[in-house]
Parts: sequence; C-alpha cells; structure tokens
Amino acid sequence: MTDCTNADIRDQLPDLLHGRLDDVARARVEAHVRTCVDCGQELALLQALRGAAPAPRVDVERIVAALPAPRRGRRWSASAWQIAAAVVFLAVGSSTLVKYVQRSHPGDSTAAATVASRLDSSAGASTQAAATASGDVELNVGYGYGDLTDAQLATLLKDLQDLKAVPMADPEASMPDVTLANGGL
Amino acid sequence: MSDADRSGDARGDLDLIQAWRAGDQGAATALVARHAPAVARFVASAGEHADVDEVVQDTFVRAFGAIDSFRADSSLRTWLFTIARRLLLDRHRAVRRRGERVAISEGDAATEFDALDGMVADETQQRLRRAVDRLSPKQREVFTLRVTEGLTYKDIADVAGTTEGAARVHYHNAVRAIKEFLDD
Repeated sequence: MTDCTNADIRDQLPDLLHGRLDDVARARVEAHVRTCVDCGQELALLQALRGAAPAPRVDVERIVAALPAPRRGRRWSASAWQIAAAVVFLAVGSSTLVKYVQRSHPGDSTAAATVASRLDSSAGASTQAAATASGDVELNVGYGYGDLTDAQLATLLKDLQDLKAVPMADPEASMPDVTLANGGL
Repeated sequence: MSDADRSGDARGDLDLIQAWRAGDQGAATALVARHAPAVARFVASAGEHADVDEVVQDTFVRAFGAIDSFRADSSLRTWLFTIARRLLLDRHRAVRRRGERVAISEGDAATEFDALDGMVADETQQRLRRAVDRLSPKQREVFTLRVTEGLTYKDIADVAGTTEGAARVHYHNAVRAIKEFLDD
C-alpha cells in the first residue's frame, strides 16, 4: 500500500470519514478519491480501522448517579465578593502608602500630600465605579490607581523612587540637642 | 448516527449543561449517554482496559464538578478527553510510584485486549487492532483521536498537550506504520 503525494487531501480523509467537511471541501476530496487509487485504499483502511476500534460498554445510569449536584448562584456571589475585595484592597493599600510616607517624613508634610493628592485625583472614578457595581453609590472608602494614565503612573513611580532614596528617619532632625557644660559633645 | 441521536436528546451540549444546572437530571443522562462511549474508547485505546468504567466515571464526576470552568471555545467532548487523559496520567504515575508494571507500553495493549476480545472479533478486526496497538503510545493516542473520534489537529493538540504540527506528524507516521504492518 503506497501513499498519495497530495498531503492536503490525505489530511482530510478522516474528516471525510466523519462527515465534517463543508460541501465544497467534501466535493473536492471525493473527486480526488474517485481517481486516486492510493487515497481510495487509505480511506477504506481508515474506515475499517474505525470500525475495528474497541467499544467498551458503559453504564450510563451508574455514572449519572455518581455525579455531583449542580451549584447554583455561584457566579453572582463570586462577582460581588471580588468587587468588595477590590475596594478593600484599594482602601487599605492607599491608606498604608500615605501613612508610610507621613512616617518617613515626620517633618515634611509636602511628600505625603503629594502622594495623597496624586492618588486622590484619580480615585474618584474607580472607587465610584466599584461602589456603583456593588450597589452602594455612597460608598467612598479609599483611593484607587485604575484610572491613572501611563504618564501619571510614571510620575507617581518616580516620586516613590525618590522617596525611597531618602533615609527612613533624619537623624539630625530627630536627635535631641545635648550640650555639655564645657561646650563639647 | 449523530451525537444528538445517540443520546436521544436533540439539544446541544451547552443547552444540556444549562438544563442540568437548573436541576434537570435528564440533561445529565443525555450528556453522559452522548459522550461516555467516546471517552471509553479513548481510555481503552490508551491501554487502560481493566478499569475503563472507573476512569470514565471519574472523568464525568470531575467534569460536572468543574463545569463552571468549561469554556465553549472547545467542544465538551474535547474537554472530557483532556480530563480523561489527565486521570490516566495520574493513575500511571501512581502505579509507577508503587513499582508496578505500567500496561500502556508498546505492544502490551494488543496482547491484553486481544485476549479479552478475541472471542468476538473476527480475524481481520484482530489484525487491524493489532496494527493500532503496535503504535507508540503517542501515535496511538493521536491516531485514535483523529480517526476513531474525528477530532481536528487543533483539538488533538489541546488534548494531548502538543502542537498541531506535531499531531499531524504523529498521525501520518501512524498511518505509515499501520500500512507497513498490514503489508507484511
């Protein structure tokens, strides 16, 4: 038994066998098979092999009896929880960030104000959208980053990187003044 | 005979899934009746003859338990084949861990299955089955999915965890090997 050189047609023989070709493709493949001895033999072989495949018996009722019960209403519940979790995450994350900046610069209110204002300027839309989605339009519990543009995000990131470059606490600002009686330290 | 005819229910798979979710137990029966024979053939072709029933049942239990994760971008049957294949791999790994012989190796399936079915299969069918059973496990898997179940190369790639190109190569190598065996 030899192979036809038309690989495209040979590729479609199983599809012809299962009736899965559209009218145009089926007509083309059938026309080829009628004139090609190799493809005719191969199609007959595939048909015989398909018919010879083992056909184990299955107990449908036993399988159905073992199936779990369907779960209802799970999708809506999961969606609501996801929205709530997102709102809490944004609120806690933003508050923590602002507090971190305030603690890092106890004498400098500008840095914290900068971060807070950048967050605040973009928080309205995303927080309100989340609150609306959860069915409570008056809920406003924190800040979000979702509506920042790439440029705003880049600026915010640079600000944060600049802040990280500053020591956690300024020893000179927080160190108590100690003067010895002889004027030395 | 179409899938719908075989299951005795003209509704599509997605409609039956929705009906089952709504509490229609008959929809589950129709889905199992429609797809279980194909899953059983696939499992048997992988050399799993002794516990076909168990693997098929586990496949449907897993599938119905995770039906929310089923995406209609592939057919339900393709998804079932994927689950069945994972179960088979898990079973073979468990067997290896216990140090037992794995029956899926080349040539074993032919001997074991023919011993069981030889009484009912005629000589020609036995020879054809032997030709398929002598294929490598990967060739046999791809050939079964392509010829017996009629899957596309894309679906075969999804089930077997390979590429469409590799599936095509395995298929043509399988056909060539079968022809050579039958010509001898």
